[in-house]
Amino acid sequence: MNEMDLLRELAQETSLPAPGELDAARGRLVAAITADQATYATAAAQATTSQPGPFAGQPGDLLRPAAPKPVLTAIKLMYGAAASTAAVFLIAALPFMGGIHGRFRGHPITATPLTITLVTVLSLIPVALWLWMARAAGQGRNWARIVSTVLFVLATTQLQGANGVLSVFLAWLTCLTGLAVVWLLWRPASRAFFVKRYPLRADHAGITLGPQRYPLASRPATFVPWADVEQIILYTGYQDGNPAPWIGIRRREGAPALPSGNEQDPSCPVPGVAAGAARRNKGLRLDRERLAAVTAAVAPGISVVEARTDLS
Amino acid sequence: MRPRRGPAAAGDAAVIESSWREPERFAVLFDRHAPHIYRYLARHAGREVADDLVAETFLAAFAKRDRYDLGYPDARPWLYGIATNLVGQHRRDQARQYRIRQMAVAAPEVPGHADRVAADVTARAMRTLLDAALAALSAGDRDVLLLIAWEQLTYQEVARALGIPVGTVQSRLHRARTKVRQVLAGTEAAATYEELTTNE
Repeated sequence: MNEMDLLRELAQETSLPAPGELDAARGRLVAAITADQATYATAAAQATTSQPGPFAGQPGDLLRPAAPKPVLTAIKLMYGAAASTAAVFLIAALPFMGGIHGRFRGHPITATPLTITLVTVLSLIPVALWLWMARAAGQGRNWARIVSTVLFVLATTQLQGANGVLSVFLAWLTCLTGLAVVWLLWRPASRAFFVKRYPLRADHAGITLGPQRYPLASRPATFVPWADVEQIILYTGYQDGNPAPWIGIRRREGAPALPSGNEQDPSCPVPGVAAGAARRNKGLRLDRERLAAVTAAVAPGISVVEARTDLS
Repeated sequence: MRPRRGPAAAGDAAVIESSWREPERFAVLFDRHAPHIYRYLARHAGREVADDLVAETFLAAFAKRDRYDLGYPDARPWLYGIATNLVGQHRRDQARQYRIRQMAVAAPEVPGHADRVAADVTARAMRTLLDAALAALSAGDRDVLLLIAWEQLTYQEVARALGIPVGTVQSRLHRARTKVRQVLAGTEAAATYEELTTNE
């Protein structure tokens, strides 16, 4: 008998729970489920399209677009910069704290409790700023991009006054990392993550198609109540001669005219889809399963179909 | 006995998916797997703690069911992974208990104690030795060993439960088995146990 057999044999001493022994645990789960059901109608009825990203495709992404790759890279850089800055601080400040005299930004100072506190606080401010910006950027706060840019500009002024190897290293590290972060945060691929727009939203009231700008014509946000919706059409449309995935709302006959009119979308093969009720999904990822689930929950009977294959 | 697999387990992903729209469906997963998860937790931390931990396991699973990868029809590795993480939170106390038991094994013997031990080489004594052996393992090695030995998960399932590569599972298992073997081989009781078992 080897050790694995021995482990298995002794494990058999622990039997499965008796009937009813798990009732308390099951009761806690049922209570959580009941509480969840109360909020489910609100949470699950919100849908949009999401940017393709490492977490795209998961149901929760519909409530907030996943951070695109440039943003994720920028966040990693910021955390890395925070760690590096803290490390430089430790290298530079610890000898000072252990001695009597030192220099801070080129100025001779004497180590007293007050100066040690001041040096520590002033040195850790950049670390806190890096962490703050990383966290805010990860949450999609648009102001984080703006503040990061301002901080980067301010950081470039450090290059001139830097003295000593560590100070110069820290200044260049801050500036180069800041430059990369700012560039990544302002990439076109990052825009949709920071600018909160819902290209598509479905809720209890109906479907909202977000505004889109095209070279020749812009489309304002359009709301279609469920009472006017007959089908949700997914099709391949053309913009400037290039194929792209589109989503259109096929409305019932006699539905009130849209603010932009009822002119048929020329690239949609299904009649009843007005140009104002169609949107291009290029650069976005539509979570079909989630859309179908939300539609089934709040507007049963309305189907999501592929125009090329599913439509009869 | 190996926990059951088959049509019921194959439908875990479908149950979880349906629970996205109908949360009450998640209770089906509890009814399917809670007894085995409970037993795993009871072996790890004792029955008095397992009752609470099994509830916490399924509450955590329910809370993050939206993130379940539907490509895996069997949810057991996912649940074992959550359970293992929860056990890890208790591991500090558990390790302390292991050390106390280990000290009890190595404590100076009182008159008559040796006779009683020699006369009663039971599975209980072996459990104490095993506890000592397990206490010597790192947390990662112990998780792999116990998921394979107790729950009979495959390498792939353990890898999924713990979020590590299959190669790491194999290396950790090898290391854990070697260490346990060394601890057991170095005890008189282990030799006695070997004699008893080979004489059967």
